[in-house]
Amino acid sequence: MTATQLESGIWRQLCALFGMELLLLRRNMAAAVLVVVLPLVVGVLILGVDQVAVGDERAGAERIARALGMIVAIFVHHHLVTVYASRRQELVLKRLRAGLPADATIIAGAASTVTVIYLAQTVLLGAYAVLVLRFPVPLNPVSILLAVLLAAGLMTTIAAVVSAVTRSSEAAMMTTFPTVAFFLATPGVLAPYGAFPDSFETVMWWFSPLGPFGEVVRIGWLGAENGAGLLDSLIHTLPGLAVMSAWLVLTALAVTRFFRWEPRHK
Amino acid sequence: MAELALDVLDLRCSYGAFEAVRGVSFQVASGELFALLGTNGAGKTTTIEVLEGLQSAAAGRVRVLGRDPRRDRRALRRHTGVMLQDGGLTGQLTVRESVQVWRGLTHRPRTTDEVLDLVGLSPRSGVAVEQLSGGERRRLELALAVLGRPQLLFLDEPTTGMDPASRRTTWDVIRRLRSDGTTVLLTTHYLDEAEALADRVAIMHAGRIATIGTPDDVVTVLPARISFLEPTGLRPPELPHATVAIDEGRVGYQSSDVQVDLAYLLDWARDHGVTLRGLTARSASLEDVLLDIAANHTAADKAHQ
Repeated sequence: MTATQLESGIWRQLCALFGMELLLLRRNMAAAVLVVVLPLVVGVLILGVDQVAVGDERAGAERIARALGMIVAIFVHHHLVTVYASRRQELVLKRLRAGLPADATIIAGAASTVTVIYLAQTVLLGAYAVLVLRFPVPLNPVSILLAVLLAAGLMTTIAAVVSAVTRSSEAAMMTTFPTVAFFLATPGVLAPYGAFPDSFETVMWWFSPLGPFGEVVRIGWLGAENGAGLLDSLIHTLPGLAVMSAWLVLTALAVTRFFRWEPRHK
Repeated sequence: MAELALDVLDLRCSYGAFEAVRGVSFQVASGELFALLGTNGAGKTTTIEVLEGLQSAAAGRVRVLGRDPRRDRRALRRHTGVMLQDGGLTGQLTVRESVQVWRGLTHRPRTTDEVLDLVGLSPRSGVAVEQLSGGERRRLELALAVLGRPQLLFLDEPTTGMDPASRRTTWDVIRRLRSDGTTVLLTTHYLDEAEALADRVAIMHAGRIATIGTPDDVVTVLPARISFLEPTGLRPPELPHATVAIDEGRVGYQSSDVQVDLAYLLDWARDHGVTLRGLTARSASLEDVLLDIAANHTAADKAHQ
């Protein structure tokens, strides 16, 4: 490719940032295990080894939803906080900002690698469920994909905000504790729906960014309860997806307000 | 292309209650190499960061290539290259990998080999950044700054912490870029660097510009110094354009017209049969200017007296 063809483009910038984080992950064995291997182990543990019984598909779909929810709430979220904290501390964020990429490109680019890994893990766990555990093939993969992408996006924005108070990647263990705890308390993530009083579940459905996640994944997988087919499933997941999208917008605004591009002045 | 690469008018900048920049004004023409010289805390880094678009101005007007550096960021960034005062590299990547990543973030970049060759890092291309020496790291940061062949280059203390060989290399690179027509804004606390590289210099102190001009101009504002060991039993003469001070056996004059005063002094010494031992006469250097400013007066005030 000649120099004149290498125009600046957002796609090229995102690829460069993706490549950087991928290289760094490969250099850092501990982080690689935490981001790539452990989530799959946790996923398999939650899904279990028993084939799903007929009539028990709903419980099975909820297990998949919980596996995907836990992976994103713990591993993806924590890793993202360490990434933002490290790049800030090394003044890489500041240097990027003095260059070509826009602010949003930098934040998205830093998150791109772990997002792609999470998508791959979703596909792998889904394949495990269908092929090994004899789960039904998902009815509405579109909604599931949207839920997974929105969840990754939410973890990105929230991690960006949390990283503003995280001095180093080591400190991320502590600073992510409140947010991870909150996500795990959301029905459908760690504990299944129905384990909490109704009022609590309703509140959390609206006010936790991952509130509707479990429900959307289940309806996407098995279809709507009061309907049949792809279209019904799509329609019934729309409210949940809309709530998650609204949370994404809100948290993105919080990022523009609270994100720090360089460490605090000494 | 704007005639003026940089146009700063009455810039003010604060960190909370602390005013780091207090009304700075200067202009840099296209193709010029302009140095901001001053000690740490003078406000140089804050000023250059406002021009880079990283900080916002509290007051005043700033134009980079005719545009606002924060609002018109996207249009400007393809034409500028930045070298921060410190940092910006991820330690675990190798030199080559760092350049490759940055090429994806640069408009029309040079090739990796070309830019590593330019800064003399080709033999170290496989080394991780965290294992480079300080000078090598700065040279890599310089490579990234010039990767896109920018029209305008911002260098914040480019040779701080460098060994002499790295300094020479960096000066050569900067000179070469300048002769290619690049406009350069440089901050430094090295006087020899400003004298060696800059077309014009602004000396900053406590958030203000104390004096501005070519290195020669700036230096002639301050009086020259004539000095010799005190002769026994004889009072040193009054010179027409100088003030005298005797300090620990050494007579020192600060003269605003060194040629006339020196001639007067030599005549006096001949008439009285005195040998002026340890006689020196020199123009003020940038170091004198800096020390003088730090000691409270601005050179501009002195010139007005």
